[in-house]
Amino acid sequence: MFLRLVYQSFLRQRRRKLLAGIAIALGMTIATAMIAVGMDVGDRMNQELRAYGANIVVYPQEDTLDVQVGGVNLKPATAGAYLQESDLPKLKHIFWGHNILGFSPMLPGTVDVNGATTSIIGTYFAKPIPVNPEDVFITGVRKTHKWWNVRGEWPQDDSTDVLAGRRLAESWQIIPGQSVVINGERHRVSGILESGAEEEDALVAPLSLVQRLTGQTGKVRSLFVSALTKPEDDFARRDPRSMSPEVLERWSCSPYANSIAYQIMQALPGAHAEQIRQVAQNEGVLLARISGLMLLITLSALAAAVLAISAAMAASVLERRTEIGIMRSLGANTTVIAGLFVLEASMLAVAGGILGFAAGTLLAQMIGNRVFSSTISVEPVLLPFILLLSLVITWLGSAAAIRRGLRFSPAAILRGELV
Amino acid sequence: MFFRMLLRSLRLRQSHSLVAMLAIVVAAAVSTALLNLYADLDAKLTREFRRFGANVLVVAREGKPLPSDVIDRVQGVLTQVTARPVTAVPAAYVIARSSSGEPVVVAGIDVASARSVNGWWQVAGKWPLHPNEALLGKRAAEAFGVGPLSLSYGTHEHTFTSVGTLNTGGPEDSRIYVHLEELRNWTGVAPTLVEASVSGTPEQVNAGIKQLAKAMPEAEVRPIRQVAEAETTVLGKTRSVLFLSTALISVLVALCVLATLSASVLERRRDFAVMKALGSSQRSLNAVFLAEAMLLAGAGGLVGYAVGCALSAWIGHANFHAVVTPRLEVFPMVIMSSLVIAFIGASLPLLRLQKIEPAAMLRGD
Repeated sequence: MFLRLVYQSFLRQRRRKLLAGIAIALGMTIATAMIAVGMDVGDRMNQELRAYGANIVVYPQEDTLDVQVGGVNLKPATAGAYLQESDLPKLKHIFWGHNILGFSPMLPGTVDVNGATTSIIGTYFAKPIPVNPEDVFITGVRKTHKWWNVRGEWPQDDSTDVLAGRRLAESWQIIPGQSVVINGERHRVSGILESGAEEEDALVAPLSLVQRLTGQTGKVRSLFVSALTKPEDDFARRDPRSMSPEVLERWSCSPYANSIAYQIMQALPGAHAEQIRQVAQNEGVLLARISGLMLLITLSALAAAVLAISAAMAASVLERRTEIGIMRSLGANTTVIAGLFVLEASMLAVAGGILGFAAGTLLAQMIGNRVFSSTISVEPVLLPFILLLSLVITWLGSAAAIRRGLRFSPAAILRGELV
Repeated sequence: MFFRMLLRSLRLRQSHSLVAMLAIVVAAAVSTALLNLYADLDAKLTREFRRFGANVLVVAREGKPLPSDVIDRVQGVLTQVTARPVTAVPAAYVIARSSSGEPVVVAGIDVASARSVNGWWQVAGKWPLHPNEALLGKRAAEAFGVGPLSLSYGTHEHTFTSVGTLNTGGPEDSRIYVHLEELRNWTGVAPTLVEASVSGTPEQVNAGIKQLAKAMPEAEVRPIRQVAEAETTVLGKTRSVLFLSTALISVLVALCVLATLSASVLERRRDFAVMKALGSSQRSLNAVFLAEAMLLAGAGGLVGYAVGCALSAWIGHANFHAVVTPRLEVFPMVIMSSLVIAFIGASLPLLRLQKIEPAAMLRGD
């Protein structure tokens, strides 16, 4: 009997159910899409913030001071210490190796071009590094220095082509494709580099070429590392040397810029790694602001969805007071009536929740594709949560209206006094 | 007569009216809040971006010093273009030698403005306040130790007192920072470089750079690309994510309200039929129902706008520690869309009801 009532109710009042169901589905679409986007936006923005470039710098422990003004490093070539190029693949083997998105070694030096002493910087552009037999990691300035803009072509890492800095190219009046004579050898200038910084006064060339030209085989002066990190908190600022083993383990297992730098120092012998504070510190704050904004918006959207669904449910129950009156005058007890309404609401909630989850997933993916050109995946774990949310909201939304309906005497309702 | 019907309907069906209004208030509030935040996003985020320090560089051309009023001119032009405060830091660099003969870069800066622009500079000890005090980069401090530091530039000698250690992780760590005036007294070198921190959207900053380059042909003006390009990317992405979320939430909530309103008008087919049976014309019937819906929508939109402004102000306070000012241009948008939604929500069911005979409706078919 009870089930027949529910069944009939769905069959006869299809339009009314449809509209309440649509409201629930729309509300749950908002909830699903915003939870998915809101939870993912932090990770996505962290990736985007890597546009600020390297956040960790590595140099030899024993190094002397850099004497660098306006791109010209006046440090004597013989002074200072070096890192070994052969050690670099070890970076990808540290605990947080997967968080290292790219690194670029730098080897500054001076060469003779047409009798004038000119600065030259050796680096990787997009060099494949074998990490393990089946995994090749491509890294270089094209990943860590995304603001470098090249007119012409980037040189190949195994070629002898070079890039000329913008101001250097202007004073020599050369264009991409022409050649320059470096230390008596002809080299093609494949492109002009615009970086907005000191590299514009220098030549930039593949690392192996600069090592050969300056006689520093296998050596690297410094290393810029771009890593995905977690914004710094009080725990991150603690000194690892004063920690107990358990605390140190917990500290190392959080991808703070400091702990990644610490692991790099342990992996590379004789190296000193440090966070670049301008990038590392500020991007943490920026990230916190952007994800905080999205979190608050997600919460507001959830609240709006909850209220809108409650209103829809309350409206749909309020309209059915006459029905409640008839049922009561026919002898149905209040539990049965309330049960009927709650069961109906639950069925709507589940149907609307499933529909909303599906639509919300699609919308979240659309936003991911449009903005970040990558899919935002919606965890299947979210489905039971959305269904539960949908159930609770519809119950709460209809509860007040059902109770009101049951409180009045059926005679009054049927006479129309309260309608 | 018309107004009496309208008012009585609203009064007698109080809970129905309240529920319908609640739905509109919610939709209007969340849309208002999101639109306010979206409109204010550029201002808020560009302010946050300035934590990354200077984004415009003015460099003296080879052999020509910067004019003596360079700071005023840089600030004047850039403030005029972006309509926001600009901080400019003049700097000069020399290579001096320590008492042991080791070369070291000594930078003369305006300490107060450098401190406000470079918020990430971590200083252990004190910032140099007096002329003879110096701030040593971390690596420089390791090389020279603490205590008086005697430096020579050519034949000129000068002794500084180290008062603090600077840690940045950048090239600053190898330098010694002193007061610009003191550096000039010692070496006679005038500032060759000005770093300016300009807030404003990337477009405004670019316009400012162009303007400044025109006003100061004797120097080279250029953006610091590392900072400027990353800002463009991050601002663009955040803007689109917020825009799509705003559109999504507003449209879906509006549809949700539309469904609720349609349902509540549809439920009143009995009233509709009774009035029609009593001889009311179709037009006056439509007018009563529409007027009721619009009245609710207008009131709901008004309340929703107020609630939404409060919500965006709270979000701004909680997240950016700054006020998000309510935008007046959002108000007509929100009221108009509330009215339009109410209009559609009421007319769709009315169109259906028109086709049905009152007798059939009253019989309960």
